[in-house]
Amino acid sequence: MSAGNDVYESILSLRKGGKAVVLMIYRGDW
Amino acid sequence: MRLASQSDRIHAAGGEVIAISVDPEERQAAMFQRWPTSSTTYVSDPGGETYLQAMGMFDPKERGGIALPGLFVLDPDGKLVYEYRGHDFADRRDDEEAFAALEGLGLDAIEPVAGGPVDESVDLDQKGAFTPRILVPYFKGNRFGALAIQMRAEGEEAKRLATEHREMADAILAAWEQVKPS
Repeated sequence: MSAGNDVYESILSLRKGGKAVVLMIYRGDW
Repeated sequence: MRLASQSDRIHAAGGEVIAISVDPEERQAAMFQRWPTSSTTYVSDPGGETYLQAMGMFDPKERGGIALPGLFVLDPDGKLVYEYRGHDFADRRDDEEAFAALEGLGLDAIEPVAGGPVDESVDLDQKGAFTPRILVPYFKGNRFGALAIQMRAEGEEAKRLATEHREMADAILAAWEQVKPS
């Protein structure tokens, strides 16, 4: 398994009830 | 904001929104309280060490390290079914392809989730958290600048890029009209 897959599995573990994840990466630091 | 305006559609397709940035959790708590994004879970990744670097979405050269903008859809097994990696801070694409990928999974609808982080004692005036008050002038400024470049540019690529930027600003302003508190 690649590191990329590991990170996506970590992100799935952040779910609070959704099945799929729409993941937005935003810059922040305004 | 565009995702917030489509939250019913995302939930109907079985998806929930997670938003990651390098911002500290305190700043994200201020964002969550300020913006009408009640079902978005903001996740703090300082230095990009947990998620952003592994995804290749971290630019170490700017401001001591900051995320590159992007939009992804993960299926229930963690497989990427859509990805858009922005090249710079203003590079944001229309979201329709992402929604098509999500809806193509054929998942059952979910109830809206409770986003966060929730911290009612957080300082809403802290530096660094984008505020609703400046959203409209910010994106109208973007729009007019792009329009001017679109008219002046001679090359096809320059015209296309200016048009894309104007359309991005228009889409965010339209989404805000749908979700802004009355």
